[in-house]
Amino acid sequence: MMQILDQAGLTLLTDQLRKADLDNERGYYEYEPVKLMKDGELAWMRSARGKAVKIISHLLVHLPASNHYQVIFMLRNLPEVVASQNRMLENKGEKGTTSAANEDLVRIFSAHLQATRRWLADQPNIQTVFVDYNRLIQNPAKTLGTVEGFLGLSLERPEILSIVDPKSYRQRAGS
Amino acid sequence: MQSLSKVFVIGLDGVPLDLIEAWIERGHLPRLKSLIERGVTGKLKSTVPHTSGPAWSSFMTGKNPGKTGVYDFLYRDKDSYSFLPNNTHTRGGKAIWDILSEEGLKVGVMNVPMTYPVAPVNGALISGFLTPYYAKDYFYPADLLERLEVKIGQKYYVYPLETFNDSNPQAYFDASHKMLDMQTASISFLMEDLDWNFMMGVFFDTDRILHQVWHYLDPKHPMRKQDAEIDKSGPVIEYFDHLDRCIGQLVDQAGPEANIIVMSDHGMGAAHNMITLNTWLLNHKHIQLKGSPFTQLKRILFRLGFTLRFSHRLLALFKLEKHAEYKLLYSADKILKKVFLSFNDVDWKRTAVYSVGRDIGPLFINLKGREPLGVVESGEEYTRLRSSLAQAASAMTDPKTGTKLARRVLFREDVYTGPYLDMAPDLIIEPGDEDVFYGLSDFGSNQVYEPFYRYSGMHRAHGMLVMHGPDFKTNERIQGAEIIDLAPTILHALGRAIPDDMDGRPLTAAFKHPGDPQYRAVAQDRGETTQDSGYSHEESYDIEDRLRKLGYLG
Repeated sequence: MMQILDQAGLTLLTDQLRKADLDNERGYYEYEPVKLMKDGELAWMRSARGKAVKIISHLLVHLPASNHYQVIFMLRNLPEVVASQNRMLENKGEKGTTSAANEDLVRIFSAHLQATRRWLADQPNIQTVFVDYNRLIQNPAKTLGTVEGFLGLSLERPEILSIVDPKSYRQRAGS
Repeated sequence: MQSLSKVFVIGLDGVPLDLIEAWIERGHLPRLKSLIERGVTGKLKSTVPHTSGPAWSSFMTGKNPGKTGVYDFLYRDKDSYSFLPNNTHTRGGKAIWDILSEEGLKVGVMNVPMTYPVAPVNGALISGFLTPYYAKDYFYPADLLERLEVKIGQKYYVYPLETFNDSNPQAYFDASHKMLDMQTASISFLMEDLDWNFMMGVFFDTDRILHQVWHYLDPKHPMRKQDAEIDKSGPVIEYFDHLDRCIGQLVDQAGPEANIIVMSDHGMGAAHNMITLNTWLLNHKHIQLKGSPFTQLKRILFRLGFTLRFSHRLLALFKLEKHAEYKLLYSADKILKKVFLSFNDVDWKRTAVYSVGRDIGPLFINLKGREPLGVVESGEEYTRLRSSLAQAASAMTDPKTGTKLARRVLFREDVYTGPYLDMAPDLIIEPGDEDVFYGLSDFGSNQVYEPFYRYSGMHRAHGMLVMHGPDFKTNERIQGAEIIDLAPTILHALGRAIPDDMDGRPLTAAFKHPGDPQYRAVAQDRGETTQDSGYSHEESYDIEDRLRKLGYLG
């Protein structure tokens, strides 16, 4: 999604400190100070106005209420998310989880998503559009149509549609 | 606006006004009689559905389930076909004790269902029903439990110690009496300990007793075929007489300046038959099963009667019900799903409709874009399917008598409004008075319609409301009161402005000098927990560790 937004002409707030690797060959598009939001690191917000920045859902609740935000919330089949994370952990030399623990993680992430959705629904300063990752891969034109209306940007262009690469969709649940 | 300083709410879970008034007429319950004669009394309409999860959530927030998101004890998980217990993290809207705490009023809250995990209040809170059985963090502040237990001279416990068994009913009633004393002493302790403005305690055993031994009060109940001529009501009335004395003691302790509200979240009546909606949907091919040999084997066993109902018979046979009743509540679901025919066996890509929930018949359409493996397109296909289901449900009949089983069929937008409307069932089938929709386990029985078991009583839509105190009228009846009206009524009684996002209205007809209720605009009611991550403390630690290792957190 970050690449799509980049191609659509939005300025990204990213420091490229985290380099592309086997797990994410196209890079992470992250901004390191974001990861310290929970500890009160918010000075970077001033330079973020009008830009797109990647934030994991875990940190959304730390967004200050004094700003307005448009959130593109990427949803993905949770067993796939856990499998993908396990693979990343293993590539980093960390231990993954067993299948029983995977079930627990799916349950926990699911409860978290539910709570986050509720929180987002209650924030008058945040507009949210939910984008299903799996559906985006299957039907990019239709799915991006929703984001197009949300951002007021033209996304249904060949150079943007070509960014959605089914080959990057490796980590199906159970695979 | 009033400027009163104290409101004391006594919750009696699942008690209908008719029953209380009938016993008063027979010379019982003198303290409730006195409150009724010197107060304002009426029936209190519950939520749809009239079950404790949504009803108490709507009581504490003054909002309909479309705004609390609590439609049952469980909520439909958006990312799977599993259903998880609701708790304060999953509820939308602030509880009245949170609003009062923010305004600096002192509150004490004991045993109100759906209050775990506990959030800090300006006072004290002990959570009630749906507190995890082994939880140790069900109270606030941290030193409360220790001080309480020293004062009452015993261990505090959330759940009853005995489950009803017809072979030894006395053990069950003895345990209920002991719990009643323990809870009364605990509320009494909170009243002593706090310089309170708002105090509330719920007696949940009233619901349990009426569920389990309604047939003791009703000689014509099908469960009384053997001994219809014997009057078995004695132990039940004895419990309620004891409760009446406890209410009297607490009302006296609250003092003459306190406004008292005795209320119940829903009513109760006889339960004769149960309807298993998923079995009905399976028979009508709205639910399709997987073709795997294991599922097919389970289906054969299901047809032969290997169901949850069968397992309950086994538990009863080995007298293990009390271990199952609370300790295994919902946590056993995973095992049951593996053993019995369940949603694990459903082929969701060929399934159009399913049901989850109890009492009323909730139907969910397997909608594309909402359910993870949705197949029904929104728009015309959804509308057409919902209408045909409504027709089919309206035509359901008792195979023996031909009587229609659905009192009415509702579309969700007819009942609810609010940001959580999308979590509501698409269709709600309300059963007749003595029928119950059976929601335990996905396919709890292989029969669509059959005699109910385990419980002889089941919920009704109307509970009771008695309001007594210096600012309420005397010897009056009130009509049309709803459970969502109580939060705004309490705020009004305490001289506080009512958030304008509450759906209930203050029951001004009950006040001697009602004044003009004051409202305040609420830009955002985040609820006490909406900033929460949705993780428990332990889970939060594990997840953060994982996210840090993945490079997502600093």
